[in-house]
Amino acid sequence: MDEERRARLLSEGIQALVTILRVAIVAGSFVLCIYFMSSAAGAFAGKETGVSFDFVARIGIDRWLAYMFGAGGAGYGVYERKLRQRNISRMRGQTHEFEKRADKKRTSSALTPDGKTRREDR
Amino acid sequence: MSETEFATVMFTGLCAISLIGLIVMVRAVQIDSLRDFLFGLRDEMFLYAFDEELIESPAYRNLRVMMNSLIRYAHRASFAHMILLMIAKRSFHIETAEPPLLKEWSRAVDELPSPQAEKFREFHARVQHALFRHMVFQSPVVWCLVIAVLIYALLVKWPQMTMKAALTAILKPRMHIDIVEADAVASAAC
Repeated sequence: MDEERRARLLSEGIQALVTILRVAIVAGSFVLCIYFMSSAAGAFAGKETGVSFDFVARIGIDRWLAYMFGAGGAGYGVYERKLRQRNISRMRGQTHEFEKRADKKRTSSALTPDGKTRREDR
Repeated sequence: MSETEFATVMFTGLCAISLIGLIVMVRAVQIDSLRDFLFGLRDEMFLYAFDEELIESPAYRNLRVMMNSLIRYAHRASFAHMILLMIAKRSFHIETAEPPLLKEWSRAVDELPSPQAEKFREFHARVQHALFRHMVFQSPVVWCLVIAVLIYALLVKWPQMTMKAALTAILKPRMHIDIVEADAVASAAC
């Protein structure tokens, strides 16, 4: 087998490994959460589960996770919005460039380059 | 188990599941963002090549193919993939030559007049910088390394440097962006 083909196989193998690891980490974390929650439900119903939940209440991890989720969710929203604005700017820019070359008298919506309302129009 | 403890555990579990979902979604948006940037750069390069009548030049054609390969395989551009590829190539003694497409591109750019050659090199540098940024921001392992190295660099080694300059100076020579680039081109060619 030549070097190039070996390198290709290696790259595909590594990609498969990275994907499996990624899926395993996400699925494993999800299963772990479900396991803890179902154990808590069992313990609440009076069943002996053998899982200790003291540490959860003791370190107040629920609060920190909620803060992280809230901040992360807001960050995600901002990131998505920036991406959308960049996308509008890109699409608008390209069409603008082509139309300008074909039609010198073309009119414009006069939004800002990233698709926002102009300050004077507010 | 008291009611409060039960509610706390349930709330913790739900928050943790939501965070996992958020992390998966953020990763997808990061890939979209890299693709969006590369689309934009490709459009900009097209307009430049069109204006300079270089549409048929390999300097434009090959860089466009490379950008398309990276857009297609953007999901593979990760720190983990790059590190594993480097380790595996060393372990299995695989010496891969630079893909012919990239070699031809370098040659074609060298043959262009200086301002045009510079412009194409700049487009290529912007692709590499976007990949570098994507790989740094995508990996939590790199974040931890970056924080540790930045503290060391800014406090001990180069106290006069800005954070961005220190980050680029430390990481860029160590990140083998060319490996990721060549891998995407070779994958697309198969």
